Amino acid sequence: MKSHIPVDRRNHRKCRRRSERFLLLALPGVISAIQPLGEASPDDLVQQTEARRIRMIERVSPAVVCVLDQKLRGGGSGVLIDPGGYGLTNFHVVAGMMEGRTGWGGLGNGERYVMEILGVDVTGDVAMFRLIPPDEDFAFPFVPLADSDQVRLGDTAVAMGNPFNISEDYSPSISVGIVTGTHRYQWGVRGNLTYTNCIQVDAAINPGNSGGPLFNAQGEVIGINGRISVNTRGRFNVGFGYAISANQIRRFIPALRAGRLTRHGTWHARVDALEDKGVVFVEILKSGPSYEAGLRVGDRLMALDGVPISTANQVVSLLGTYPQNWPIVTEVQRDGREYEFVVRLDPVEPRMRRPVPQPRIVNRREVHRVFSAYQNANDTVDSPTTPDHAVWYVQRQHDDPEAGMGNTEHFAALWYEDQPVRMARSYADGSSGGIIEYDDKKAVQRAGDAAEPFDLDPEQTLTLNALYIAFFRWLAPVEQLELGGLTHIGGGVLIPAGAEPTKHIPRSPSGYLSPRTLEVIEYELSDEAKARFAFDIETHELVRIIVRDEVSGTDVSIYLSDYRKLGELKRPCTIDVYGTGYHYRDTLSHEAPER
Amino acid sequence: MMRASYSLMVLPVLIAMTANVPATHAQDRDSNAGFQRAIDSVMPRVVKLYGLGAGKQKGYGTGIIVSDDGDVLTVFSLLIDARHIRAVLADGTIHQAEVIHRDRQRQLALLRLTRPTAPGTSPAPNALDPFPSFDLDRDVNAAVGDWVLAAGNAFKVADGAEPVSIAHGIISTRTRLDARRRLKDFPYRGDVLIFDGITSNPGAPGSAVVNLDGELVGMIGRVVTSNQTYTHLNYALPRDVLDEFYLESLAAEQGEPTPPETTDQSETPLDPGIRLSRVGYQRILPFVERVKFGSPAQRAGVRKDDLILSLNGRNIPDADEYKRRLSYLEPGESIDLVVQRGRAIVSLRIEMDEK
Repeated sequence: MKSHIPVDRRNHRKCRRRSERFLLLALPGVISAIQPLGEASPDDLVQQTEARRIRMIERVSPAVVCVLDQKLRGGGSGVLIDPGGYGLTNFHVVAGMMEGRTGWGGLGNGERYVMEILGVDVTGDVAMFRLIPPDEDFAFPFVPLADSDQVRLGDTAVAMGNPFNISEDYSPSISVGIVTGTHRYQWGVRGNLTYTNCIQVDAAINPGNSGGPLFNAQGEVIGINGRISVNTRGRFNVGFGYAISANQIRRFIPALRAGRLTRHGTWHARVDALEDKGVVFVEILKSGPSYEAGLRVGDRLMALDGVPISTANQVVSLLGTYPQNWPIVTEVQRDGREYEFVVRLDPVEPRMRRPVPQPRIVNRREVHRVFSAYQNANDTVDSPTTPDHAVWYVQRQHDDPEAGMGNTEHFAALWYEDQPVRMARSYADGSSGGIIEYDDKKAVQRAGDAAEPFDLDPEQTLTLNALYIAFFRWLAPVEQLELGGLTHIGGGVLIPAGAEPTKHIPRSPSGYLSPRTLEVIEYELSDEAKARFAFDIETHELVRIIVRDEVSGTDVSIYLSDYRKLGELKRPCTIDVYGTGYHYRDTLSHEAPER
Repeated sequence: MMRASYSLMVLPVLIAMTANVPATHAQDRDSNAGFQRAIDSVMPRVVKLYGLGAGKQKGYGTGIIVSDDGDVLTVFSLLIDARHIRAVLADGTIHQAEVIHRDRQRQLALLRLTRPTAPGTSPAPNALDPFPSFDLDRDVNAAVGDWVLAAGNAFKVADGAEPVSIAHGIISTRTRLDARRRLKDFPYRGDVLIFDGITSNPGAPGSAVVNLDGELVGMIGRVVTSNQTYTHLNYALPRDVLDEFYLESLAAEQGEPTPPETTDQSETPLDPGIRLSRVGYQRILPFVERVKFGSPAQRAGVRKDDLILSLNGRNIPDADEYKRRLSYLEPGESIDLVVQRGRAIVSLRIEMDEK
């Protein structure tokens, strides 16, 4: 098997183990830093530090995987990120296993599990695998992913894995170092295996460490180790290891889980650093997303996703971390004025010598997993029970372009056996808006009894249907779900409500887009309509539904937020609906709002 | 004069191993506080250098700023033979650098930054602004076992304004080298600091080595291999040696005569009058290229094209080994050579002159 870092001679640097004893007096810089911790003497502190590190290593090392191919030959390392056995490694580690998409994963407990290879990111050298649990209730040890944008030069970094296939019982080797560079760019091979915006460490990374985790001092995964710089001395550690950042990987996880060949994004534009002009767009493809977003040749690029730009290299490096369709906030200067554009990245096809075969059908399982996670996150009881009939009050505020926000309607909806049967509508002035009657599960009809009849337009019908599905159908036990028509289509990113079509997108403190990565399930409502349900991969909340009418080509976006426990279940209590030319916000409650 | 070799380092290294990670690692959320001060101090005082490269000699390296008007210390290498040496500062500004002085013995060079030429930089900094610099004159506390950081342009990983790479380790010992640079013995005979971290990488020579307070402890020297173990040595020239060189360079620039390069006679190997062939790749077979007229070797009957097989009973696989074996001899000691001449094996005894 050809490995990116082939296993080589056993000439590696031992992991440095040091006990802290007498050094502290020689470090005046350290003394001041330890004072906030109070009475502890330097000796105690040193021992505490060491004990804490040992505890951290003991805690996380069970989740480190020794990746072997079908014939049990060593390939590299990996790490589990989820109790279901999902784990990360490098693509170059599993590249030789793509034929059958299976291998073996050994854990520190000495056990070996069958490994199934799911999605691969060839461009970014990441692959996801799943260890098959021995029984249904089995939970694998796992470790969380860190926010790798918080990683600073000099931070402690702990690499784990199976260098030189040294481990007989699959227990990982540990090496400790510091972060020696951030936001590094390492060229790939013909466009693949490119390490962009990666983390550089001096913890010993050797052949066989590939795919293994790089931890911070808290035991969170900040990256996946995959490359080293070598010189004439041979392929082993010379103090320059590179790890793919956790934040880059996180954006690809949903698609990797869905077993897909992931695609990175491109904006089909080229920037260059020009004398006295900074980093400037020198080429923009007219049919590409940058042009469409409004960028023009000559614009000076000031910031990308909140990161101030000073070199062209930096731009290439940052862009390499995003999947296709990801929205990039681009701040530019044109004629002395500042503009902000949001570019939806086009996909880049990874270059493959031969096509990667699609995995065995994982869709059914993945849909099941997403729904289970949704239920577990939102159910507070074993089997969901809704009252036989309950009244919900909905306050709807229309964001009317003419009248402005504040055009308020009130609904009182009567639900019977998980279904809305009747909804009364009234306006702020107290006049009645009529009664909507629900027929069976889907259709929404209008009934008389209204002072003035109103029409429910098709878009609104779709919206209501989607909401209906979201709230009630999915609360049935997962086992009873009809999976037909449901497809796990990969990932997305949440642009928070109110930000579409996007002029303003909130950012995380580090300046990047608030990284709410989504898993997306598509559902065929009918031949003419599809709904895409997006779940946050961290909280498992349903955060967005997009309903698309294939006939008219119109979209309705529904954002669900403000999850609160109402009765037995957690429900989103604020729902924003964006359609063509309208927006309204529903606020849900069991109690009648004050008029 | 004793020449401590790399293998002698083992003892100090073992002792040093018992030292540990800075105690500030104790603060979980703030795990790099121990290095932060050093990082902040060293970064603006290091420059990335780009110059002449050829073959395995990389055209990039590192330098450290030692005066606020832009004097830069780096190692003596092919890089500085470039017509234009480019120095990229931490803020990304690009300066031309000219060579002021070079020292083959210490393998050091002094450069001086000229005004910025700055493609891709904006705004161009005021040329009169003082450069952030290290004070070579300042006595810095750096003992065996102390933590140090090295910062430099190793592997050319950082570009433009991107911060250079760092490496961390502890000072293992202060000693002298028995080392070589490819086939030649390394001429520097003074003290060096040896580290447990890996600092010997392409581009790293010239890197600043600082203590945790960010004070300059030394500068990473050229990539050399140990004569004993053939491994790369992770060493730095100590600050006092740099200071000595800097003062000499300034004096030389003022027109003062430089002190003659002292060559230690005791270090010169005995010369029986044989010159070996230099043709070969990686390993040079010890073929005799020339025999000096009237030399002990000629008197003993050594001829051109003889292949030396052994010296005083020791196998001589290559030209390096021949030189090393010579260096172990005492003056006046005779040499037993076995050579291959055509198909014949010939034993010869060279009687050396008493000195």
